[in-house]
Amino acid sequence: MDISSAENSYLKIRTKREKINSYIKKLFENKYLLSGLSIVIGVVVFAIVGFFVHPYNPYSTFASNLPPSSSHFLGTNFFGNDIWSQYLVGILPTIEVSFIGAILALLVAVIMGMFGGYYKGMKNEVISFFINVFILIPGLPLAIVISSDLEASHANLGTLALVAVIVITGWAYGARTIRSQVMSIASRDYIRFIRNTGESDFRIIFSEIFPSLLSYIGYVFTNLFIIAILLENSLLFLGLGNETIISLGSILYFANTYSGILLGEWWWFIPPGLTIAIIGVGFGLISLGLDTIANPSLRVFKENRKKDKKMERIS
Amino acid sequence: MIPKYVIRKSIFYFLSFWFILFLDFLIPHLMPGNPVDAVIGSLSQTRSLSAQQIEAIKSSLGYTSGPIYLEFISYVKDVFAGNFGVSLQYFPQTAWSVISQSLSWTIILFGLALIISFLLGNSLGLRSAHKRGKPRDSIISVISMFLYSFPYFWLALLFLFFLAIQTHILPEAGAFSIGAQYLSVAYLISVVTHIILPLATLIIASYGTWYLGMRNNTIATLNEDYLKYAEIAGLKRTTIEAYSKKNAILPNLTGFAMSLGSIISGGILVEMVFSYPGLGFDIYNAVINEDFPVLELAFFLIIISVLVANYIMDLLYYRLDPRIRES
Repeated sequence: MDISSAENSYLKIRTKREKINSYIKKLFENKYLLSGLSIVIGVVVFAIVGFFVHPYNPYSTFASNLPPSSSHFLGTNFFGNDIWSQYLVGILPTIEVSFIGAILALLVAVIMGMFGGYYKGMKNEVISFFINVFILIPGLPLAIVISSDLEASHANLGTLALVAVIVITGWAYGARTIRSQVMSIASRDYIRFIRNTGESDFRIIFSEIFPSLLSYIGYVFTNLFIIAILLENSLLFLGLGNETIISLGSILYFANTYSGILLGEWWWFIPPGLTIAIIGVGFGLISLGLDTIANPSLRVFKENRKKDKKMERIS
Repeated sequence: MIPKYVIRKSIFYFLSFWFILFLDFLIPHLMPGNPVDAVIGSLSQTRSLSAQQIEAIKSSLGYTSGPIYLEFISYVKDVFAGNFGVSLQYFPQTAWSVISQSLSWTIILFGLALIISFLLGNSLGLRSAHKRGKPRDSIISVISMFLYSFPYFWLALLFLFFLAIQTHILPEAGAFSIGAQYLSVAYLISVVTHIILPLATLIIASYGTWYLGMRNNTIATLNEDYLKYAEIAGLKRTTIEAYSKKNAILPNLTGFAMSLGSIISGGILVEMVFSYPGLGFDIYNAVINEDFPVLELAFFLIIISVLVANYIMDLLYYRLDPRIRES
């Protein structure tokens, strides 16, 4: 038994290393993924630098509604704050909230998706029911109802509330994608075989199914991040959330509420919106790239499943 | 005999309805502090409320005295009686009368957006799949991804800024010109010019889900043996497209829930930016004025229409796709 398990682990290591090598090769050949990653890394570096290095204190006041000039690169807003400084300080918190929200939503999605896809019968039905219901509920209206109730109860949860809303409205989409993937893996022969040897469900799920899901999990995460950043900024733009924390969404909220748009002050609302768009596009490209990596394997699974069915029919 | 699929779907939507009703009731109760007291507090600053009115507001928000299950029962009774309480911003008016005025505009805007984004997304997705790997496919894919992850409320702001406020090509706000006589030619023209910008934003924000779904489904269909054979046999491209379209579009209909959701979510912000007098604009006004009965009613109506639309879609899917009927 010792020998066979040693052999097994040796085989595992070899195939794993080969797998990783070919995987890295694939990643670098993938143009979408590379360009997406460089955009995202570029923005994050810019955000971190901007958070610490900016010309003025974002809260200090000058003359209000100044147009762009050499001393105020993007002019000043209604309150007389320097917009360029506010913008530089605001990018990092925006990314932070979406990132935390997307990670937590992913965690829920992976757990629900894996158990929902692996189990059959009643457990599957119950998990599927919750996934399907939450997919039906449109995200933004639900988020609005929750956050406005929070606002009215004067619970100053701020960022925490945004994160919670992102998780509640986002997880189901990810869970559905992962669930269908797990269902196709769980019906494959090697999983059935391991099941028949009496291995525990938890071990099968985490050490056999989970590793083959990694590219899917990456794909789901990028999409959850896009959902999160759109939701976060939509809520802030509507005035639901903590506007005292400077972020891209709150800058847009003030630009809209204090008629920056009506007065033609493009320098107030174009840079923050454009930055959100660039972050979104970066993650969109990553998602497109991961999709092209993950999809060939999807086709293989599908073919196997069909063969299984055919075999069953014949026998 | 009613088929098993139909029974399953009916049970699912029936349970979903009750679950969402319960959620709608539960959300305010789960909040730290009490939103109702806050609402009544801010309302009684501006006008004096009788004890009866306070009780009516409380019960319309799902708060009555007694244990929580009794509260839920009285909440359900109110919903089925169509009693959604009074609006807090237009005080004596009921929430229903506030919302019913704007429903028609929303139905026109969302309905058109849904139909056009369906046609556009599916036809682009089909084309893209047939040109898979070619530059045209990559360009359309990247553009669609770009628009899919675009902050649509900001896109609306850009349209508003460049096409309405700066250049006055199209009107900035509202759904029609106020001066025009109802149903006159000038009125109808103004309705069309007012809807262009919100509609364009909504279509751009929502066709991506159809596009990506259709592209992936068509690629999967093209890999099937019978279409490979058709290609080898030298059938015309248009013929192959017609064959693949039928089988690819059916699974794509299951993306209906997501697409409807994105139109509703996008529509709220778009109506807000363009001050388009629909449900979304009501929601925005309800949010800034803390008008909970209107907000809850709007949410309830959205959920009900989503449930009904998806139920119809599922039944239609059953009628259309023989693969489901046989399994």
